[in-house]
This record gives sequence, structure tokens and C-alpha cells, in this order.
Amino acid sequence: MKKIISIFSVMLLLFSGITVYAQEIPQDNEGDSVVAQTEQLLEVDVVNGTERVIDLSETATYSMVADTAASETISERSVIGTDERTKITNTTISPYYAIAYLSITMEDGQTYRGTGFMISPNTMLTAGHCLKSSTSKAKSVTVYAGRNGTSKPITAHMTKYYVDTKYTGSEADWDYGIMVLDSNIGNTTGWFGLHGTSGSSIGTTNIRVTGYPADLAGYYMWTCAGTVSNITTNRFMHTADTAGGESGSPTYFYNGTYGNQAVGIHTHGGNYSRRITTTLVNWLKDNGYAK
Amino acid sequence: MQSKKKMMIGLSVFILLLASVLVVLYVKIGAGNESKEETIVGTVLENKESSMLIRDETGAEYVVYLEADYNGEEIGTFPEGSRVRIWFSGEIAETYPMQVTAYRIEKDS
Repeated sequence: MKKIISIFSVMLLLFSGITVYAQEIPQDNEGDSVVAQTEQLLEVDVVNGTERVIDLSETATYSMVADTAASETISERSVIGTDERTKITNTTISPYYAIAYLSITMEDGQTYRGTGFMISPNTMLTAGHCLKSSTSKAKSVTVYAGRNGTSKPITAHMTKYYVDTKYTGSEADWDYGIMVLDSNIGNTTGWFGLHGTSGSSIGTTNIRVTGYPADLAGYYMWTCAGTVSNITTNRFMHTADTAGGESGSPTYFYNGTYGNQAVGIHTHGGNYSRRITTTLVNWLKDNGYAK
Repeated sequence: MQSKKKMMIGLSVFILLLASVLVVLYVKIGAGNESKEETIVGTVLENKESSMLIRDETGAEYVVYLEADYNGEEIGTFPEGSRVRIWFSGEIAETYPMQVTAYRIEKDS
């Protein structure tokens, strides 16, 4: 009898909610295990009309964390507000100046508005679906950093972009995009640092999402704080209020050493952000797109 | 004889406990595999060959794309001005217009 109780106890322990972090097993958004494979990016040069596929391989020494520091070109820093969506009235202070309203035109003529954020003098991150759909891809993107209604303090245009080859229009796990601009507006606007992570933590539970929602009148920037939950290999959920137009918004927190650091890219209502991974950060650093 | 009886009782208890563990596991796995189903009802504003723009009753606009294995009626059968119901996974990509990928579309009466 004692033996049986012992066996049962062992089984109970095995199948109970106790989590043992022996090894990180890659999972997709549904929590299913996935076979590790090299990520690839589709590089699209919208000026020359050329395309090529490149590997997004982990070239730097493996680490669970990869950081880049924010650049705050203006000395004044905004005070983080309360946990409600609030309008940003001064969009030319850090970190808001580094957030841009995107005017997107696809090759099939469909237009979208979205959001993106600077990560270096001439590079932005946004959602993959701001650049690619299942039937078309971006033809042009005009970037209005720090847009405040009809006021457009600085403008740039996308010359090249990268999307994950696994993103064909609806694969939320691979829904991120990298945009290269025609000028170094980041030297004026500043940029976000990146906190790339692997494993079960993204390094913070409190985040903020700031972007250009379309449900509130005009072309204004709004921000909302929230908390993080349901972290998977490539995505996480958050409680910050968002709306259409905020795809590509930075999901970020303030780090005393690195400044405002993005941990994710807001993509879907519900609310979901695409995680900024160590693989992505290391590739950006290795290729001069993040410092 | 007594030890045989004890063994039988023990075995019964073990099987009972094993069954309860399996039931708990089955329920957990089943809950994890629940597929989400969401619908949007709206009016077709623009009809392209492989996507369409709709506006729902709140005034929100969506570009509707089709899932790779969509085998419903062709988008061309839903003329501009008609009311449609869209079934999708629940994922709404937050550009504006927003983007959804439908696995089923029907005329809404």
C-alpha cells in the first residue's frame, strides 16, 4: 500500500502545476513546441525594387538578454502618467519624438495608418502587417515622427524594409518589421533602446504602449500603461488600452541604465505585442541597425 | 489470503487515482486546445479580388483577407453595399483600417 501511495505521489508531482525550468523549450503562440530553425528575413529595397532573403542567425555569444541603450537628444524627460490612456501634448520630447505616425501605401493601392519607433538614427521597428499582407506588400511608407495633429515636426521616407519570411500575412508569432529610412532623423528625435530577451521573462511586468490610435479624433499620440502576461517564445499579452492605428507601437519600460527600452512591438487587439528577442537585437546590432 | 485482499484493495485505489490524474490531464489539454471564434457583421465598402473593406455598426473599418485554406464563396460574390458576416480567429491586427483574416464569409440578412 505504501508503495502505491509513493508511486501516486511521484505521478502527482510530475503532472501538477509545478514548473521546473531545466531548459527553455521553444513554443509557438498556442504553447506547442516548435523545432528550432534559422529565422530568415525578406529584405525589400523599395527604391531599387530588389528583394533577397537573408539569415537572421544568432551570431553573437548566446545570452538570455541583449540590450541597446536609448538615445535621448533632448534633456527633458516625460513623467510616466497614470494607468489610463492619455494624450501626449508635447510630442517632441523624449521618448515621444522617437515614435512616428506611419502613412502606408501597399502595392495593391490599399492604404493604412500605423505606428513605428526609432531604434537608431535611420532605423525603425513596426509590425510586420504594416509592411506585408497576404496579398500585397508595402510600396511606400511616409514617417511623421512626433506628429501632433496637423503639426509634422519631422518627416522621412522608407527606403528599405525587412519582414520575417515566416510572416505571410497572418502568422502573429512572426509579425514584426524593420524599416530603414532615407535620413538620420533619429539624431533629432532620439531613439528607443531595446531589451531583447529569451526564456520565460521579458524583464519587466509593467509596460507602456504609445502610438497613434484611430478611434480618437485626429492624428494625435496617446499613451497607456499596463501589465504583462502570457509570455510565449515570440509574443506576450498586455493590458494597455490600444486601438486600430497603434500597430507597430513600442511596448516599453524605463530602465535606469539604458533609458526607455522597448521589449515588444504592439500588433494585435486583445492585446498582444510581438516580443523583441535576443536573436533580433543581436542581428540588428551586428548589421548596424541598433547600437 | 489477507495479503491478497490488501493487494487487491491497493490495486483498486491505484487504478482509481491513476484515472483521476488522467481525467485532470485530459481536461487541461482540452481547455488549451479550445479554438476561438469571433464574428464581425459589416457593410462591404470596397471589393477587391482577394480582399474587401467593410465597416461595422460602430463605424470601425476592417480589411478582410482570406485564410490560405478558405473554401467559401469568392469575395466577388459580395457586392459593395451588401451586409456580410465574417468569421475569423479573433486576431485583429491594429493598423487602421484594422486587418482580419476570414475563414468563412456569408451574406447577413
